[in-house]
Amino acid sequence: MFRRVTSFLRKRSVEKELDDELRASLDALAEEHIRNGASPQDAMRLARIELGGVEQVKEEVRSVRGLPVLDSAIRDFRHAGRNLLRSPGFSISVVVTLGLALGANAAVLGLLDKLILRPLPVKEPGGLVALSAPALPHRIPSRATRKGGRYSIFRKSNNRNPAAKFSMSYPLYTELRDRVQGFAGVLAQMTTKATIVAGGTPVAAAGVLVTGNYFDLLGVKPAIGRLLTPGDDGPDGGSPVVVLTHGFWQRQFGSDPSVLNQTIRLNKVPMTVVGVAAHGFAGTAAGESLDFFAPVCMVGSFMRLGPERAPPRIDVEPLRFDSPNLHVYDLIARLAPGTDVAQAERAGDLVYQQLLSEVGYFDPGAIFDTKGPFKGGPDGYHLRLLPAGYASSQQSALSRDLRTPLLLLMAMVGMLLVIATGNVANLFLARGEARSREIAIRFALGASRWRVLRALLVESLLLTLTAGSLGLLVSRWATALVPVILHVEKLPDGVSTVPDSRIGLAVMVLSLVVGFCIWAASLPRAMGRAALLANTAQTTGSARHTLRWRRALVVAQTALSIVLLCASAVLSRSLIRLMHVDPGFSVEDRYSFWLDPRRAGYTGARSSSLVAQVLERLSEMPGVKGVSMATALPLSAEGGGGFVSSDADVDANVGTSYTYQSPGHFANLGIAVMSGREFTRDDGSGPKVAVINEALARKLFGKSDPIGRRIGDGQPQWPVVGVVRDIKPGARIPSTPALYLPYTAQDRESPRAGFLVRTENDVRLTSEMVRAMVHSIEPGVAIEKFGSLAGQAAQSLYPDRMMASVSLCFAGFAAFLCAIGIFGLTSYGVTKRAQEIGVRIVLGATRTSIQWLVLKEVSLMAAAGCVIGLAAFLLAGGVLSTVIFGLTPSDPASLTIGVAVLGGTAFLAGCLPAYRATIVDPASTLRQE
Amino acid sequence: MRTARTDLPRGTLDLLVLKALSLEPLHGVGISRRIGQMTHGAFQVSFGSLFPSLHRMEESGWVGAEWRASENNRRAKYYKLTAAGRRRAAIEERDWNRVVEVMRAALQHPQVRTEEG
Repeated sequence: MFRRVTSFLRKRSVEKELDDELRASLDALAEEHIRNGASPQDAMRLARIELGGVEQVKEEVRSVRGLPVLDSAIRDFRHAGRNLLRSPGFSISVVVTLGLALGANAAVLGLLDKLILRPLPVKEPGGLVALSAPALPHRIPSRATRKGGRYSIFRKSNNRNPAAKFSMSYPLYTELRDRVQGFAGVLAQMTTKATIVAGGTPVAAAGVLVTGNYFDLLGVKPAIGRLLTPGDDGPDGGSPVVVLTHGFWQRQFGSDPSVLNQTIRLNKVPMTVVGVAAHGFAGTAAGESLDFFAPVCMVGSFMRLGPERAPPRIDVEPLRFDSPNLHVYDLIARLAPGTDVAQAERAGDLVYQQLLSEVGYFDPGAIFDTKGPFKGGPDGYHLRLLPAGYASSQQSALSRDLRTPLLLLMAMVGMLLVIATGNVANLFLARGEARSREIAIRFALGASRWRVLRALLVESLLLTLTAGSLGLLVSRWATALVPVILHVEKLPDGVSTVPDSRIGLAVMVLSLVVGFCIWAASLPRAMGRAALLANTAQTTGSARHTLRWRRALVVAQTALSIVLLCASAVLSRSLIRLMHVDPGFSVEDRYSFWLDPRRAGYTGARSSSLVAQVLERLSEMPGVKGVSMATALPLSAEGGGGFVSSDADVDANVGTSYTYQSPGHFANLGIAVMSGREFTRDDGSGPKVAVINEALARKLFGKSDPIGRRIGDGQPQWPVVGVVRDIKPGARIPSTPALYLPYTAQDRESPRAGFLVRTENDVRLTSEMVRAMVHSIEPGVAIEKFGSLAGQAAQSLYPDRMMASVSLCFAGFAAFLCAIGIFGLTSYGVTKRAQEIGVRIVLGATRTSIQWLVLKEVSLMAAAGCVIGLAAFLLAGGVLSTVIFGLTPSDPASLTIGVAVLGGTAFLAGCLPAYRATIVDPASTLRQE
Repeated sequence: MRTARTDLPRGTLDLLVLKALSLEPLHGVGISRRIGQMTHGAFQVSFGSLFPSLHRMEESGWVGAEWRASENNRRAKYYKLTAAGRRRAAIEERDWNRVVEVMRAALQHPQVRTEEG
């Protein structure tokens, strides 16, 4: 083997030596002939005959020397390259067609991989499972405490996703950790936000609070310093250490190792930086940037629990990180070696059922608080295990929202690739037709069938691999293009279509598969060659066979295009409906941003005066037409909720959102006041008053007039002074009851404040003015989430926008490819049938009948494709029903649009060949006979 | 005279080449001539099979090669047996003899003798 490799590598000198040897042999043979009496010329000729052709001998030797397979593969590729360069038009159209299709695949695959498929950069991600079980219900001892006993805190769960995980309390975590067999370890974590002050400017940061075994269980190593260990699991608030993510360390500290043992302030709490996690590890959720890790016992300083926050009722104990009513932790377990998920799930559920029976929830006569996240019967109370080692596992908002859209886009882009492949196969078949003479000659010269087929395979592989490389470039550019297509200002963090080695490899494999498919699809043509060789006349049988095959390819392309066109029509009509849903407020010229006075150390009255100061300074800014603030803004996913009863029914306990806001907020936001009035400056100082929305009015008072009635949490105490229109923060989200109170009326810890500025200034100017102004008032407070409401509204629809616009691009491309396929095949048909058409013209056929002859074929193919495509779409279109709004997948208008567009395209594609058929010159075609 | 010349049976070329080289180093044409003498002109060795066979055996290390002056003072590539080549020749010869014996015995077996015998 070694000698073979060296002789492969020393190929040039081996060739030279072989050449010398054969020359010497020829001379020796010639000399023999001269000795036998031949003339010098004859001697050389005889010698050549005897040797049997220098080149043949060389070829024979080459086939045994060195690495003949590699050698001949290189020669095949070189030959194929020369061949393809000889027909640049063909090669370029193939590479561009496939390059665009593969590029679209690479881009969508890249997004899908980053957000959903990719394993996390942790040790053995396959062994990780997420635990999910409803909170253990708690018993309500008496009616008196029932009023005030609603003190459980749950993480907001996403109602749209029935498979959403339940978060759990710390005691439940320790029970499961210690009692369940089959886990090598269980960790608990809770994501949070904080304002970090290190040096000068405060920054809003995202972090995760974790148990000490977190890094060890995930198998993550530190970049510098150390990570958190079980030793950091201190008592409540007792372990102020923090680990930074590599990205945050780079961004905020310029990768300066001296950050170790520095003290930084998180929400005003001084904490020591003990280490930086390994590069690339950013928690267990994909698509959301993460900045720091802190011990779970510090939950109090992030959630503002504990003694300094006076609970609303005296009968409620203060919440601590390990309170049984703080259901905020996500649990991830590593399976013990040799345990599978089903076993572990059984073991876990067994423990969970024991815990449930200890509480006695299903005992007859027991009264429980049923306002928890789960109101189902005993069937719902089970522990479930979900895979946790992949990008989608933690169900971050991004991967949750994009999962179905991305899978659908992947299906579409796959169809697009099939259509492009079909097109290229058709081009190959047409080219095979043109090259039949060349191929026949190669057969005649004794090339084996395998050899000819191999040459064709190498050609198609060369083309598809080139196209694959082009596709990777295209997908790199697509990153810049995607925000433009989606009409969003920037892509969410973590969303990028820049291909990495994983995607590069996948696309190259895909290119090879496509290359094989094209080769296989063009085989019937090459197979027909032997027949052509035997019969030099027209090989009608083989040609007809090929024609049938090419027609089938075009029909399949048409069918897939119909599916794509119908899907994009349905998605676009759904998007139009979504955009025309009246949200109940205006977004134009409105900008919002958030301040969190608590995190800058403000409490109580100081906090209120900060808010008032910001409001006043904002209203003085040039070009500002209105300012207001509220603790919840539409599209912001902020704000809190509670329960409310009315003087009509003191036990109604209707769940509602609570919003505290400044006077003039409804007008500033464009929410219509249906009856009564909006808050005024006087409402702050006097007795409390409330404004409710129509949904809450219906629930509390039915059809009777709410104005002047009293409502409240517990005792009805606040008079209702106004009713406002319901707002729909998202078209798909139904309007929910809302209660509005004056900002000055709140008696609790000052919450986050959302400010709404109405101005015609542009976004950058407004942003800079706001920043400078807030900084001049209080340098320690971070401005969070500055943005325009219009941008946020667009952002809230971006999965829909993405699906509609990207599927339109795909469908347009598909229809274009389909048109090219039809055009190519029909033109070919006209050329082949020129004689027949000539005869018809001579026999007196009219222009119309000739045109019909051609268009009939087009319409038959298009009709067949439409029927198959529509049937396929109606069968498979159901998968769209979860993502569209206000219509069904079989929406007749959308189907009509799809069919009409394709029909029109097919007709246009058939027109030119039909015209060419009518100008066939009978004399010249018949002369060719 | 030509009637006696037949193509070489498969697998015998390597053995004949090794045998031809066992006396003295030879160049390509010389090997062809030597095989002609050894088989009394019965076998026709085409250069299209001889050279590949030589190069294959050179790569396998059974024959070595060197350039030197030929009998009439031209440069030629001379092949000679290596130690591995000698061992190989012995193995191939033994195998061939076994094949010949087995074939002869099989063909002389009375029950399968053809009628014309």
